[in-house]
Amino acid sequence: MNGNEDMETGKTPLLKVKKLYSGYGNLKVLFDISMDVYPGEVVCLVGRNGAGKTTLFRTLSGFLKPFSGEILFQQKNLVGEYPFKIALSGLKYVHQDKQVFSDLTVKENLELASYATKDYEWDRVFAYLPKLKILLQRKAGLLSGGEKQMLLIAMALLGRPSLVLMDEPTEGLAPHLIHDLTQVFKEIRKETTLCIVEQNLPMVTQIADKVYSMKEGKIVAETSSPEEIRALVFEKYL
Amino acid sequence: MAKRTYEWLLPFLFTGGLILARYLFPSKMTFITEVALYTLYVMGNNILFGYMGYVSFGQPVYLSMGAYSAAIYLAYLGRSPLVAILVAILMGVLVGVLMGPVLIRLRGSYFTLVNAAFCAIGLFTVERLLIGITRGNDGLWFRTRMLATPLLDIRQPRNFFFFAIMVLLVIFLLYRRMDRSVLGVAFKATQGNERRMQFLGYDTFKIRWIGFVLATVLSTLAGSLYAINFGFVNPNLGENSRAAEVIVATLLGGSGTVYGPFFGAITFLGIKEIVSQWITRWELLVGVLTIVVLFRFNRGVWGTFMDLIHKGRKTSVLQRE
Repeated sequence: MNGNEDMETGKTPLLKVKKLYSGYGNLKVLFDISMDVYPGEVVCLVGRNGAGKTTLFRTLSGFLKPFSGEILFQQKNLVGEYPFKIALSGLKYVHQDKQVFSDLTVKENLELASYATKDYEWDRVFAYLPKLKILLQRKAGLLSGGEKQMLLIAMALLGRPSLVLMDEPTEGLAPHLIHDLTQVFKEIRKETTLCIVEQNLPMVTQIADKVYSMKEGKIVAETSSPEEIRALVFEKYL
Repeated sequence: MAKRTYEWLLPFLFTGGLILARYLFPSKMTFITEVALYTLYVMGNNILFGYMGYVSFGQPVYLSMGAYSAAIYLAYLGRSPLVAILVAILMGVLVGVLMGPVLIRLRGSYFTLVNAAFCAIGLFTVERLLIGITRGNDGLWFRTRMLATPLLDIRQPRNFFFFAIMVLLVIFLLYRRMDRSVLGVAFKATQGNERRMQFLGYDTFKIRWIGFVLATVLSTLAGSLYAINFGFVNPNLGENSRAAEVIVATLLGGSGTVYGPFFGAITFLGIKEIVSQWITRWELLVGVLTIVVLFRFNRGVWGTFMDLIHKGRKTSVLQRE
């Protein structure tokens, strides 16, 4: 058992965040964040707008340098690493803005992702997201919100990342698309670990193995009990 | 497949058009040669402006560096024009590699103005600081020192014309390849959404650096060819007052396209050639045309032409349906 192993389970977390403080300029947004994500898990972060969820993801993916604390990914400290190096090390971030490369076709978007990671196994990705296969020649800017989200997920999955951070993937999507996306996440989790910021609580109950509740830049509650997740006990902390 | 063949033909078609124009209008050979050289210069700026979104008011300094490195080599060190061109290319690589990391950190108007400052420094350097080597405003003459090149003696203007066309053809083919490669897509994607590129694992700093080096090399190559064509150089080539010209030519032709620089060079130099016969301030018409292009045809000559073709294709498909 090494120093990073969990005392109870003996497992080594894929991502371990220790006493993280982060923010913008002099403005502190995150306070004393500690969390663990284990391989194969689906971890959801819930919280109201302004709770610091996106700031946490930006810090984890290297776009914000934390004031203090540690981010251990596969036992390597990511603090101070360039975002592209973090992405190449296997931690991908799907931003909430759903911005694809609009002027490029779906195929060209995927080619860009493949070239960076040298992963050209598109069929593996199409197995999760079959609709993309028929949209290959379409300009990405002409895709619907749901299709853009699918494309972003496909691009993130190329390179076989160990962990994918997804920031509000269902935001602005129609209910039937949210349902489709939920099924996609259930499939994807067989391949990679997911950490999802999500406000759609019914979806969280369907996919989450662990839920962290955030409020005013702090983690105020944590549960990995399936009963508690199904009962939405974390809702009272929001 | 037919479309692919047609696209491959374009570089040959355009350079062939220049050769045809040379025989149809023999008295305009100098002008047509300048179109070829200016196209190379605009292509460099097009990488910066059209592909990566950087507006540089310092491009004349890179053109001047190419011209002076070739000229100094030919005036003092060697006598082969081909080696002089190689020296200018190496100068472009060196300048791009060394200055790139400093300049590409800057964004928007900072990049524009720092380049403008470099241009002013470059002009001062060749005009005053290195006057012992560059001969300042008198210019540096070296035509008589140049040796004949094998196969094609490019000291002769007629032969230089064909040499310039060959260089343009090779650069067209390489440029086209770059445009269709991941690098070309990465330039545009980085301009569109740099963060997204970083999410994918791209070192966007390196991408912008490579773009800057390519732009610099094309400018120094064009500069060296200018120098060899004229057999002398003077500081006018690097005047910062001419910095806007290459941006206007890029816009007129269609920025961010492979063949836009060619049409930008023809339009810009064509207006200069024709209008300057009647009006001293020929720039007036260029200014008016630039405003019209920006407001009405912001994809430039080539971009608008391609849009019309695509529109035509769509119409014919609809008609068939």
